[in-house]
Amino acid sequence: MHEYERKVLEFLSRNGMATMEELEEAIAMHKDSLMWAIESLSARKEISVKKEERYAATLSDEANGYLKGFPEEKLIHEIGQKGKIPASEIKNSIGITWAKRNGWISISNGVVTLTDAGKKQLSSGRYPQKDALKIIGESKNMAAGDVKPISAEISELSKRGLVTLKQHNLISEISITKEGKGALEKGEKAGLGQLSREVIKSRKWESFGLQQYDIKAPSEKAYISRLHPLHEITDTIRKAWVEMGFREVSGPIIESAFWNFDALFSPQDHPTREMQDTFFLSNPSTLKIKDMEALDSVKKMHVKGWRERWSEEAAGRAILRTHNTSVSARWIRNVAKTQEKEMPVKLFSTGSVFRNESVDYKHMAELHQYDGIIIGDKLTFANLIDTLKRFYAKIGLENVKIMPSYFPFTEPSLQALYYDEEHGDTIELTGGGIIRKEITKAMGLDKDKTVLAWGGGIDRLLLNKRVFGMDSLLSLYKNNIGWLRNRGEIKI
Amino acid sequence: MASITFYLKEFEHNGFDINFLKDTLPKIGVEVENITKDQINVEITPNRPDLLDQQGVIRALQFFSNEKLPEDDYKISGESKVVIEVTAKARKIRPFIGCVAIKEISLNDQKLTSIINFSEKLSSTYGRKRKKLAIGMHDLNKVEEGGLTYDAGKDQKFIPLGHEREMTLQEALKASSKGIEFVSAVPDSGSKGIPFLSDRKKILSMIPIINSEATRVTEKTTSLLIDATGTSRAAVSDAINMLACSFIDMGAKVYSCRIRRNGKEETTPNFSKEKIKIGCGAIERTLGVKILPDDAAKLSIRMGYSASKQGKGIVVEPPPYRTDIFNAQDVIEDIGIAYGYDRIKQEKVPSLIDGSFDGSIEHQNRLALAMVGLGFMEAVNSKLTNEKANFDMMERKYDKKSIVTIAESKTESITMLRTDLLPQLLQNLLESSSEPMPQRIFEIGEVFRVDGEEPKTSTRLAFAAEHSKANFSEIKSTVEAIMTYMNIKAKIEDAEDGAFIKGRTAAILAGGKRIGVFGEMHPQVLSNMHIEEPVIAAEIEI
Repeated sequence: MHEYERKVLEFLSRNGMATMEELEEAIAMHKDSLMWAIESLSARKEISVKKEERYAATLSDEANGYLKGFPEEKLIHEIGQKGKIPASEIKNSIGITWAKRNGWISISNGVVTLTDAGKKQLSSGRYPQKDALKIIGESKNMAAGDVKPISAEISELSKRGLVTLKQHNLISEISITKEGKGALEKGEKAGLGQLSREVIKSRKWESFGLQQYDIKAPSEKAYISRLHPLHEITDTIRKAWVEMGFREVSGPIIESAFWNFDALFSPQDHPTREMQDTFFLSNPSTLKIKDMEALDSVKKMHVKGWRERWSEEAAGRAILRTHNTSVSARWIRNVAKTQEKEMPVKLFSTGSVFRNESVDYKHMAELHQYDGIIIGDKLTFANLIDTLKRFYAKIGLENVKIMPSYFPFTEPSLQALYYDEEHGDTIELTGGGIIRKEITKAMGLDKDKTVLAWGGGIDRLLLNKRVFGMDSLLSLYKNNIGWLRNRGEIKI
Repeated sequence: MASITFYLKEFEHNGFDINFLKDTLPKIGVEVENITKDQINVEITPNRPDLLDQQGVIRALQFFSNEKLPEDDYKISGESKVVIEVTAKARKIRPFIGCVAIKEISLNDQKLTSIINFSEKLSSTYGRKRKKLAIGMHDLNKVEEGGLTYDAGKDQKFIPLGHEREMTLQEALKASSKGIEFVSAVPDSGSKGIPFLSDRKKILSMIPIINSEATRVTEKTTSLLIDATGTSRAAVSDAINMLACSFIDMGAKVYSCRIRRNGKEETTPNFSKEKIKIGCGAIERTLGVKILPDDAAKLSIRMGYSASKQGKGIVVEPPPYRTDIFNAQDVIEDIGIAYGYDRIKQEKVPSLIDGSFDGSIEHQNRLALAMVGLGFMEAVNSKLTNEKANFDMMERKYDKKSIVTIAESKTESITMLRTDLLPQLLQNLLESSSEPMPQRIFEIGEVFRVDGEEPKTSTRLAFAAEHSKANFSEIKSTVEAIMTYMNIKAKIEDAEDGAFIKGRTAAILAGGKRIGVFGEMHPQVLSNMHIEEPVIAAEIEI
């Protein structure tokens, strides 16, 4: 019998029974150790424990906003006022989905109108999901009786990621059993328990003897502390590039449209440059482009290449970078300006990139990328393919296929795909190519220099079963300590 | 990237089965997303609008597998009688128009749907939601012979397609669902008018919104008049060429139209493209593969070019439906695709330069390991947050001017970049509330502010511990251990911070500068966050 268990049994044998609070107060012991002792005693039936079913509820940030009105409620309210709305004008996509599912709206010929059920809903204003959310929001620790009547709504709400409900059992009463009393008596005759400095020095163990433990009794769990999986995989990738002779560089997350788009020949009317896809900033709304020379040559490149008007104002808009290629663009310019002599120059960077997405289990607004460039003489597509295949082999991804692709800033362009035959999974590893001559010229590189460039996503690697096997990227940012403690190894 | 669905049956009619498609489509740059019982979903890159049409993909596959040769395929059969006069009013709003007449068509339901889908897809992607380009289709036999006019106005009347009643252009813009959908493609319609195309007697279409009922296309239609209008001359002529080629592939004949604009006359479609010379040396310098002129010509033909050997290279003429070929480099990419990217022999980049890590990232990594050594779990949180989570929950005040804010976000909870790491660490602790205690967690990452008009980024370390006995002296011990590790001679001073308990809050000073704060989290903050155990925490600039 363990020391902790003996203390609990002793207290209970004096008092017959106790609540958890009484035990905690009486026995100066760490709560976790006490819990462990109770569990192991109860497993051996030496005590009996009465438990109450409880539910701990948490609301997501979104859910707190929803308390004032669900998106589908807002939507039907809006339709109710206007009579009908063209589907293309509705940005509230969550609202559409749920209003449709609830049968509140009908969409025909691209126009959304209220159904009878929708009109009824609008006039009553009573929405079971909202009522349930209110109940959950008010009581954080719910008894089984509170949960049952709204269990259908809870299941909808948790599917929507608005609510998480975790069951835990509250101990209400603990008492000692016959077996417990027997074990306590036996334990007292069995000799010394915990060793101490005093026992060792005085050789007391020779006269009293040492108790033999039940070695199969459950022991208190120990937890590992470790780096985050995203950190681990990023370091693996960084190490591989450095081993291949690449220098690590970095660049800003808050970036001008100029370095993110214009310097890379992305036309100013391109759809990805619209607000729906890119995070534009309202403070600061613009950034000064200090490199006047580059500004001028990029303008010329656009006017000549796209035969469209080019606006310096649009180039100065402040955004969150949408790819790490903005870092590469800045470095191509740096290399040109400093007139680096030793060729080839091989650079890579890693970091966060941002997309204006409606966040759900499939879509993240912040993702992570690695991006690389080689600047040098006489570089070819065959060199690029070699670099990429060599890199992927280094992180354990063999059988990489190279296929054609398109990016506005490279020609020829390629993508590297990894076929995980074991799990029937294809991952798009990277996009890349030879940077267009128009761009290298605008950045001020010598005519005879070629730039090979590529960029790939880090997060999606974690979704592959062979590499890590996460089911949703959302858990990556939740940092649930239980998940982090028990997660598996990254296998690249 | 445009996602588009094609019918497997249509491919099978041309002898391409699923296995062939799965293997070959990626090789010509068409990514296969998903295959169902009778459909295939693919991604088309923006440089190849011709592949938005299933006929275009079939054509590319036929060339690629040597089943089709470019010799006499794409020819204009003659001139039609259609002449379009462009007025000054139309020119000011939407300057460019192109036209083609198509005859000897046999349309069935599916062909009609597929060609309409193609023109819709072209207008929405390549045409930027009809702003840059839009396409109209008319039954040519229902159009009066002789001159047409491309004009603009407000009060002219017509029956919009799918409607029963005659209305003015301005009415139609408000009354039809297409009008509501595409109103932004005709800016200033109130002052400048709405563009339209008309024959001697009636309006054929309100541009770029809706056609008229009078020239409705049906399965019985045997001759078509197609117009493309827009703000880009290239987009308009490309669209007419692509559609004309799709009809030629369907077995129809195409006839050109004349456009009179600003006193000048031009003919559309124009199938002749400038010839491009490519030296085999240039191919090798780009691809890293030695290809002989004969082979280069054969490879170009497999991508649909007319090509012949000339000296140490080749001369090619791009097919009329390709919109993305201007110079030798463009052709070399296609030669590479025909050669097969997977066949290109790897060649190592010669270089003896050593690689190196970024010093500051390495510094952060070592610090992270020290934290792990102290028993803290690493967390990585998003840099995106909102004012409520970042400040209000922490009982901290803020100045709007000093935070980096986002103009328009699709996700309600994303409005700004984080200014501190702690709020999210507390969120992580809440997320883990049912996990065994003690819990210790840390993050190293960037936080953002605006100083004047400039964004300022700094890197911080934050850590927090939650358990029933967590107290000030524990967090002080941890902070001191980290200061010793970082070789910083720090002083500690009383501080005030809404997030911490007064009298149990300390500022960390180094070299006279405040570099951090630590203490016991205030119970108000914990209850805001629904955290039920004591939490101690620190946040330090590194």
